[in-house]
Amino acid sequence: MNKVDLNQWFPIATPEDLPKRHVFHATLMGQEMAVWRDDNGAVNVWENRCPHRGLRLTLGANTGTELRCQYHGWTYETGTGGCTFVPAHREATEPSKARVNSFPAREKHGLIWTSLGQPAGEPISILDDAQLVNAVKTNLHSTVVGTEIDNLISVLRSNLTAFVDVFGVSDVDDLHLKTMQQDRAILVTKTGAVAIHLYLQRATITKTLVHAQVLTPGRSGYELQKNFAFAMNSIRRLAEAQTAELITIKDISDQTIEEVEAVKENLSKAPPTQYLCEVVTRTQETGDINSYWLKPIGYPLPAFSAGMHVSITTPDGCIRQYSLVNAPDEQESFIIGVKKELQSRGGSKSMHELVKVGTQLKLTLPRNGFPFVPTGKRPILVAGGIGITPILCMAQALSQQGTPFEIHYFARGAEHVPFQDRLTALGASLNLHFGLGPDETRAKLADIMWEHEPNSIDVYTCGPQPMIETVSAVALEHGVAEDSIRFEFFSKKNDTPVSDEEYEVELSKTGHSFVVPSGSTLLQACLDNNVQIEASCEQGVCGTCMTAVVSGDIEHHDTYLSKKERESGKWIMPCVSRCKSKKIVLDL
Amino acid sequence: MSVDEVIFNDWHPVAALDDVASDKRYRCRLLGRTVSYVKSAEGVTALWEQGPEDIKHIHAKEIYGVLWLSFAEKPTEMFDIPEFNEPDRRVVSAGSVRVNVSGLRAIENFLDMAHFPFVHTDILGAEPLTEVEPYKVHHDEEKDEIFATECRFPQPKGSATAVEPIDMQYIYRITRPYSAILYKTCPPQPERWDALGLFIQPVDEDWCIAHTIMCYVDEVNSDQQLRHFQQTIFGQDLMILINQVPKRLPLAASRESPVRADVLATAYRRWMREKGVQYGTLRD
Repeated sequence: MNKVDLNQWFPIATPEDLPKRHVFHATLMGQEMAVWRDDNGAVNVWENRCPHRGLRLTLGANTGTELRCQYHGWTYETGTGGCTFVPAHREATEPSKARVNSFPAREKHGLIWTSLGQPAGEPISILDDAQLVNAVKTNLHSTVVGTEIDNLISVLRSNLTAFVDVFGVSDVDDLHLKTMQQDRAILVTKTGAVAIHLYLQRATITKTLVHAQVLTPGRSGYELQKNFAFAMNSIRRLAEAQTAELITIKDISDQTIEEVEAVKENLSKAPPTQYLCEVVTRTQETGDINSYWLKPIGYPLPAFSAGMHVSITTPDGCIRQYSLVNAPDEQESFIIGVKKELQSRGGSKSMHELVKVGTQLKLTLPRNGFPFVPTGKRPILVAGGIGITPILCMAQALSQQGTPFEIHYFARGAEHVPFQDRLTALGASLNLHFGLGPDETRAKLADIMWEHEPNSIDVYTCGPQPMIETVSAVALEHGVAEDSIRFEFFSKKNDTPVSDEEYEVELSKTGHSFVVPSGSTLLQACLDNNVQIEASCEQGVCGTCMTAVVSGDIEHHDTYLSKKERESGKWIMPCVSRCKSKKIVLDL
Repeated sequence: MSVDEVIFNDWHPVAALDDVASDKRYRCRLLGRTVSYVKSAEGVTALWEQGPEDIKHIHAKEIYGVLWLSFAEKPTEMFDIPEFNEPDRRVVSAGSVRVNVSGLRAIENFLDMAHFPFVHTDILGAEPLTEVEPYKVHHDEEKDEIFATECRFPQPKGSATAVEPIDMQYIYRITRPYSAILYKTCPPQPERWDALGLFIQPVDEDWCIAHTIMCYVDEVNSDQQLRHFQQTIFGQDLMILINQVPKRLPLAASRESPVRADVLATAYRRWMREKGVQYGTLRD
């Protein structure tokens, strides 16, 4: 058997396998996957294993925005797979750094695709035969066959008689099977009026799935679907009967589960949390706003959800957050808008002056702090200034879904509006309001909201702080519930400071020394100064970052070290503990 | 398949005494090896059957409602559970269940409270009372056992004897990698503790048999009622255990992500890592 290239797109399901709120169990070359669709329609393909205690996520619940694990109720958000809630610690602001490993996902050509590596480009369907250019393509039921893929193909080849009724021909010689690559086939009549495209999926070394699509001149009917199911059933029986000696169960505890090499490789190849991206497009949108397309190098664009932002290390070294503008089908690059702030501390200034096509930037994908949550209520989207970016992202998604909504953009004037083509494409849902002062804005917002019953709308807003405050106030006055008003401030979030006073750190082995600034953890300070310390939970629980101490008065906040270890003063958990004295010397 | 010394030298359960009829040879697997035993008036004789011609006598011991075997010439001293000597207690086996997972995963599940509202809904816990309050863990170096004290959880129906929701108090005691005991509030006599032992037979690294023994103060419930309650709980845990990936317990600190509710499980994994336990684990 030839080695399969893992860096391609593999079909693993049909859209019908992903009904609302379902979690679908797929297996690809031994790798189990939990496949689910969020309420915005986006497909997630995740490793079927909760990062907490390894429970299969296919046993979990799809809440429409998150997958909830059935063991301890931990929830993981759509797109990034980041943990959003740990019921055992309800009030924790950062419940856990755990993230579900995910695989790239695409819904295209009537199939759901994923990859076990880094595919280039997009999934390609079996090209239609020239004669069938006007055909209607319909998905047929997928079939599970308990045999290895090459055996299945040879059984198909030698049993085309099974398909005589499907195509309504009188003779098997009127049928032709053409195989392509190692896992695709076209079944067609000699006249070519009807064709069936077969996509074979290697689930395990003893199981293959057959996904099928039929191309017919007009709509295909129930008869064809039924006959195809009967035909595949007889193929299945023939293929399974031919499969090497029946498995005899001597002693159930002797059974071992086959382990495919692909599985072992993949558990260590989780998609990166940090991406290196190359700028492929740079556009000046307005006098002070540029847009950039950032294409990840060596990895396909990960799943994203509207409202999400990315953290970018700007050319001058600081980290800034920018919301994604991507429409759901824009899956090649991260698209962001950057406004040059007048009082830029360096971030946006360097983005404008130093970032050009070809520049490479480091980017991470944090949890979505401003998700769009469909509730059935009418979304009222309000944006001001550069706050248009996440709002536009939501609007494009809603527009593609066909959900009715309104978007209101407040700007100084038409020349200050970025992404004009995208906004215009929103059609009647778009409302532009130019040159309104604070009082006029407030009055306009009241007009907008009073059009609707307060409990029939959800309000999403992003923009300058005073505008957000006004939108909230007006909505609340109108009687909109607090839960239905969602907003995002474009300001840097602060972690809970562990250290109030700064102290010095010295590394005994290199003599290197630096300061832990007030508000930073010892771990963060070490990482910022290029000291390699492996960390995992960052809550003082798991013990991964345990570091030896030479001297220093330690204040312990972890739950891992024993009493003796704490009292000895020889160990510290830098993720949560700190130094009470002026200086700590680490044995590094 | 090598078996580390700590595990090899120890006693391991193979049956609940309630299930061992006299003068009948039973056969099963322990640490990947075939063993057999017969109970007679003189006691229990046990054999390690490596092949039709290769049979060795091994040690057997009946204690805590369970039959234990050991491959070692001089097995490790058995741990002490004084509650089993109290005359007014009932010792009832809740059954022996075969599970396709490493026994270490079953022990860790036994030590965990955070899953109560989700796996044992409306019995051992219910939303929204899901918070796990901080508790204390310490390693008794003399006995080489791990204790978790001051554990508590609000429970709608915490035991077969509970008649109303209570804040159940727990003490967890890990005596061996494959044996743990939990002590819980005894509703009829709140100054005493009911003891529940989970004694796991490592059939091999991916299979185990869980023997559960109750040592309760209870004059109200029949054996069947006590068993029914325990088996309901175990049946719910079974669905979880057989769906954990990987089957063996990862011991590397960074492998799975704990939170503060997992302090006991983290101490358990650390203890085994430092003892050099390999059987049933994944060591990266």
